[in-house]
Amino acid sequence: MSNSFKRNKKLAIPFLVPSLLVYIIFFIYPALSGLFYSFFDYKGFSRDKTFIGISNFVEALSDKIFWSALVINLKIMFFGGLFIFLLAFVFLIIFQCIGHFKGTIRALLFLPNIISPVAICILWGFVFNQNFGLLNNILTSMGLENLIVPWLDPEHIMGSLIFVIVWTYVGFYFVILLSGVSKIPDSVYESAILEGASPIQTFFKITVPMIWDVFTVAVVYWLITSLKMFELPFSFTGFKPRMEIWNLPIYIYMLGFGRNDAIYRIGYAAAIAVFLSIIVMIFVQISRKLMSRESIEY
Amino acid sequence: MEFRVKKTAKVLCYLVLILWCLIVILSLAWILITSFKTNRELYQEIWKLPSSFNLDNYKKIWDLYDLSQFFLNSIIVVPINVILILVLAVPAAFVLTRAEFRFRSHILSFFIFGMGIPVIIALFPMYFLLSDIGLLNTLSGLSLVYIATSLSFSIFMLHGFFGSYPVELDEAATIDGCTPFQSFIKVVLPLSSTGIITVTIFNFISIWNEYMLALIFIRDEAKRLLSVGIYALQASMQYTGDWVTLFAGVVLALLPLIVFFVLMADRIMDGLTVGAVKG
Repeated sequence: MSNSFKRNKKLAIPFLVPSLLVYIIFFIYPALSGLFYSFFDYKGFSRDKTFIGISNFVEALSDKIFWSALVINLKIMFFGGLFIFLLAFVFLIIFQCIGHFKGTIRALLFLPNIISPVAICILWGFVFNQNFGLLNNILTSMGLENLIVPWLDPEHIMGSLIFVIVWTYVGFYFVILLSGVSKIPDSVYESAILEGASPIQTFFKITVPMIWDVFTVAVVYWLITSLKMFELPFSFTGFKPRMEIWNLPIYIYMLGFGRNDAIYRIGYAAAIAVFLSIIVMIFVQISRKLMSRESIEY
Repeated sequence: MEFRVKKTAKVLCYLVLILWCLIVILSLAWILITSFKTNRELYQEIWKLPSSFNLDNYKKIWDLYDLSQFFLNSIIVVPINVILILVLAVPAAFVLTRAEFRFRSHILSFFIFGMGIPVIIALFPMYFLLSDIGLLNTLSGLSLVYIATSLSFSIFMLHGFFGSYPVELDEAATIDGCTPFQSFIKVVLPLSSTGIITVTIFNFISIWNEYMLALIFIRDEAKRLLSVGIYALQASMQYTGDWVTLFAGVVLALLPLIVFFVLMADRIMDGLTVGAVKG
């Protein structure tokens, strides 16, 4: 290890302590307390709580809403991720075939990521609206009336939500993957082109293997983002999220703060939050195991 | 890098990308145009231009719905938060990347681990913690929570940037007689400006748009942030049906971000590039 790294040791305490303190007091300590609450029957009106062991966890396992919310989480994670990465890779291939306006196109693809989830939901709510929505208008004008469905009804709402999620996030993952591509030396591509490889071939033989580590980071980041996603599904159906799109974060919020009947089941909500944290960690570990391999040096 | 492909294929590539970009532009344009309409115009001709561009909705939202107050709150609180996050995260990420001491990698993992914790698990304890120290229903209390929950991602990103320049730079500074602190200020910070700007922008966007924590921890209407103001406005639509006013609010909430983005787009993209590859 270099000398300067040893010299920087003096800075470690003054540089680390302030952020560690804030991080521990206002995030880690509350998170651990949340874990602690999950073993209590805790209604949240007062600070009285009774220890009930793992009853909250046992209850969750037979709670239908818990399971349906978990399924929603997994659907968003799996289908959202599938389409986001498929599209991002398609954009990556065709992006390499064009010469002009690359900067502008990249910026516009990314743009939805800065729009507030509430605005996104209002916008797409009007597009999907059954009576006067843009989508059904277009389908009618194209003579495709038989394709018209109530996009926000229970049986179609998941598809619509996932579409909006893909629309929002694809640009972000495209830019991440593109960042990996920009690190591949042009000479690698040039020799491939000289040997007559097509863009599709070079994509699978060169691009994908060489950006595998960036791809792994992107996938892990998506797993975390998608499993914790709250704002987009929460405001998707307007002011109150409809049950068909309650994922685990929304269910936890509803149990704790969001109900009209003033039954605040904080202990139970905490138990579900613990399940959610465990699920996030399991998926992150699995994906890292599945995707880990020797990184390619170039 | 650009591939040489057949002309038709090239045209097709452009078409797909332009179509996607067009959808993005048109959706934003539609929000903007609708904000100048009256409710009657919205319902009659939802996808047409308004007969006249009147600013009534903006006046209404600014005065009647108190959005001016919320806007002011956000425009003060969010930048302060973003700066405080940098003040904490930049030095921490620096020593965690470019210093050698015991438990260094453990502390780094401890910070990064926070990215996997759903904030919602800490929601109720945070609520009680803030109420115990008298910071519930205050913007400083909310800020502390924002800062604490943003540190993981910020340190993770900055770690990538600090790792991406050669050790020789620190050594050169050492030979020039700089103390470690001086070389941090004079050599490291200027070199990491891309990273610092990227982290700034990310935190700005996410805190500006965040509304779950702001909704729960702030009860006083006068202290509301813009994101919550917009959310509350959306909630009141079920009674008022005054959609065009809501659109004016959405435009106001989007405006600072769009300006920010137009000015900084290239830096964001380049920043993402370095950070992600190293992360």
